[in-house]
Amino acid sequence: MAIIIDEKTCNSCGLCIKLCPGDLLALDPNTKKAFIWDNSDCWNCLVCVKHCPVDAITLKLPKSIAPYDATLTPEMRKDKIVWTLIDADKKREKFEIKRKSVGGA
Amino acid sequence: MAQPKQKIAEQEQIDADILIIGGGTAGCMAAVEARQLNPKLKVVIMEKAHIDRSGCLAGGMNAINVYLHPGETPESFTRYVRWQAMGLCREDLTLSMIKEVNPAVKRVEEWGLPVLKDEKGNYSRRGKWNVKINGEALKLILAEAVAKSKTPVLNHTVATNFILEGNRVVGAFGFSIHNKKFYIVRAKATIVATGGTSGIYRPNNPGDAHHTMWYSPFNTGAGYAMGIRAGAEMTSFEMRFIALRVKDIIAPTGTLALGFGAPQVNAKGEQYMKTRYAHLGGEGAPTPIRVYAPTQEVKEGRGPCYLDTRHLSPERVRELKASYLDMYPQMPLYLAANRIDPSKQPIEIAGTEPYVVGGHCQAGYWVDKNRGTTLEGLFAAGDIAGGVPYKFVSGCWAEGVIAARAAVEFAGANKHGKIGTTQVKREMERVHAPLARDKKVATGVRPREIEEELQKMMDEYAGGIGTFYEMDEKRLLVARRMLQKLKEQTKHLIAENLHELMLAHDVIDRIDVAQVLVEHLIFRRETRWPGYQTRLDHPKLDDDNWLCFVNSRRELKTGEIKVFKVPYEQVVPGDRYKP
Ligand SMILES: Cc1cc2nc3c(=O)[nH]c(=O)nc-3n(C[C@H](O)[C@H](O)[C@H](O)COP(=O)(O)OP(=O)(O)OC[C@H]3O[C@@H](n4cnc5c(N)ncnc54)[C@H](O)[C@@H]3O)c2cc1C
Ligand code: SF4
Ligand code: SF4
Repeated sequence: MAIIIDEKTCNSCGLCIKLCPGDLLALDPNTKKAFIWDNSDCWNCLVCVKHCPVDAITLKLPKSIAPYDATLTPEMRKDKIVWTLIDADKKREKFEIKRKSVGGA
Repeated sequence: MAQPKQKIAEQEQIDADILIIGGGTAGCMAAVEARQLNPKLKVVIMEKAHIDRSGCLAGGMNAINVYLHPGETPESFTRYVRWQAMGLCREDLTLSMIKEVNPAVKRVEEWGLPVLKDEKGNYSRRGKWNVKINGEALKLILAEAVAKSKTPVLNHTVATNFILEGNRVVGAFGFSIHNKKFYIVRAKATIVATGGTSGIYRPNNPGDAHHTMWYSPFNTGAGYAMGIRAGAEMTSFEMRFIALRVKDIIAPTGTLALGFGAPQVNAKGEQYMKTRYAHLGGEGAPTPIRVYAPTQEVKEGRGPCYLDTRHLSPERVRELKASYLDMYPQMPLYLAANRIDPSKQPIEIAGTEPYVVGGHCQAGYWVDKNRGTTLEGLFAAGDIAGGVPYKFVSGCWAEGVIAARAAVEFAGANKHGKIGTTQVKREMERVHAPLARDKKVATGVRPREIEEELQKMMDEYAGGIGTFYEMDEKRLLVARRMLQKLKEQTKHLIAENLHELMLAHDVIDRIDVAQVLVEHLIFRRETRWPGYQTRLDHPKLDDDNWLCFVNSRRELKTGEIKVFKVPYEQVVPGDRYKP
């Protein structure tokens, strides 16, 4: 497993499809929702997760690397990125890191 | 997922003064520089993904690994790089690169990159040559500079081959996986900047996790393969890059070792770098030794090996995680999911699959001081260019600047070349073939099947992880034969859609790179870089016979790969085995 796209939340904006560095995503012509061609090809880079405007994408590291019990959620704000890391014991850590925002992203 | 049948629908020709293939670290800087030098020139970038987030920088960066801090000189840097590379590198190229690094960093800071500074306003150092940054958005920043320079970008367009007129490159072919076009880009000068090659060897992780790797799995060696097929001279492929990484997640360890002072320890708790490798510099030994040593520890029964982080306070652990979030965000997630607290538990390390990467080792195009290749009108910059084994982001920018200057000059002095119609037709057919083939015939093979066969074979016969990176001539000769057979199998490649067509060409390119790599590995009969290139049958470093570069060229007519020695030239005086 690498990424999970919540079809109910996805608004078909196409940003993840545009930005994935491996061209791994596409829009299903029938449902008009984003999907990944092959989850095992994911690099876990979180680019799609960062840019999805409606937080429809979650990254799970492959099972052979890590259990599924933790989550990492980025939130891109103006001039910073806010990360929420929840570990396997549900302990929550927040990180705010400076960044330059470019063209609204 | 059921998808409608896809094919390449139409051809489009574009004329440019300068074509840049690969809009990554080096490519973006080259575009900006070229447009600044001559705003009248039409510069076009052909990029496989989208320039905003493509290549090695997709997830961000937390440091600039090459910078001349006060007190250092181009010569001191070159001495350091030469020592890192076990006494052999292109010193002329290293010198010309480092002279362009600081201005390039300044430029990117002006574009908005947050660079950390000390109380005096100097850049914050991390190690000898590094600068700390908050580089989450670094790739977006470079892409914005490209947009401001008004350089059109063909995004989602996979370059497949150069267009040749005799020995001159007059442009390149590519296909778009989004708009189904086959592009013929004619250019007076071309810069290739497609990065290094991953995925030639069996990677650290299997199946679902095969792309949980450090180097971009999407840099598949296209630019190398295109050059090889066009008869360009290549150098030093045998200096493979094997990175020391956090085991399983394959995260960089520089952050831990340099940024957080974590030494290597084995299962017995011994700091073996300080004891067994003291004569080579201990913890500060050259990079190949830093990966060779833990590999030996494991081989000799003293593994697993770790970076010992147990001295870190909880605050420092937080800083450590923050530092990774800027560059490799999957690392803190890995720690959190596996309940690893670095202040209580050391971090296990491992060597990666061998990569072919000119910016960390020196595999790549043989270039002159202007980054001109042996093909007229073709320039190379970044991880794809040979000779300088210590580039990282800032060195790639520097080379982008140097290549752009030369390309601007070349484009000003030369007219467009001619493109033969048969060349276009042949390439269009070659590119399209996996889509056109019958998907139901029994001989049809998918790209992933060929990829796995390649990786297994390289691992077993050409010194992969499975054999502690060691090799000998007998097994390398088996690799040579198997590669030839595998290459013949590519005539059965099938692709269902344009995405898979890209994967098909990725693996075709990887095989071309692997063939040249194996020829280089066979040719160098010494062990120059333990770990990167360990020859069991020639275990010693042999300056009398092998203080030289190993170069190669594939003959256009016969396809034969000719391998030969090229003399090394010492430019900076001093002991080559001292930093
Ligand atoms: C995870 C990671 C972390 C790193 N961290 C640091 C760090 O903190 N500091 C540092 O100094 N260095 C770091 N490095 C090294 C540095 O990022 C690279 O050396 C450098 O970015 C390479 O630049 P490049 O232009 O050669 O390649 P890239 O920046 O990767 O660009 C290559 C481009 O070519 C495109 N491309 C590939 N094939 C084709 C094709 N067929 N057609 C068209 N386009 C194509 C790719 O999509 C990509 O955009 C890191 C590398 C990695 C992988
Ligand atoms: S995490 Fe990165 S590689 Fe994986 S699908 Fe998202 S953008 Fe693509
Ligand atoms: S970015 Fe989010 S909303 Fe847009 S297509 Fe992708 S998943 Fe859907």
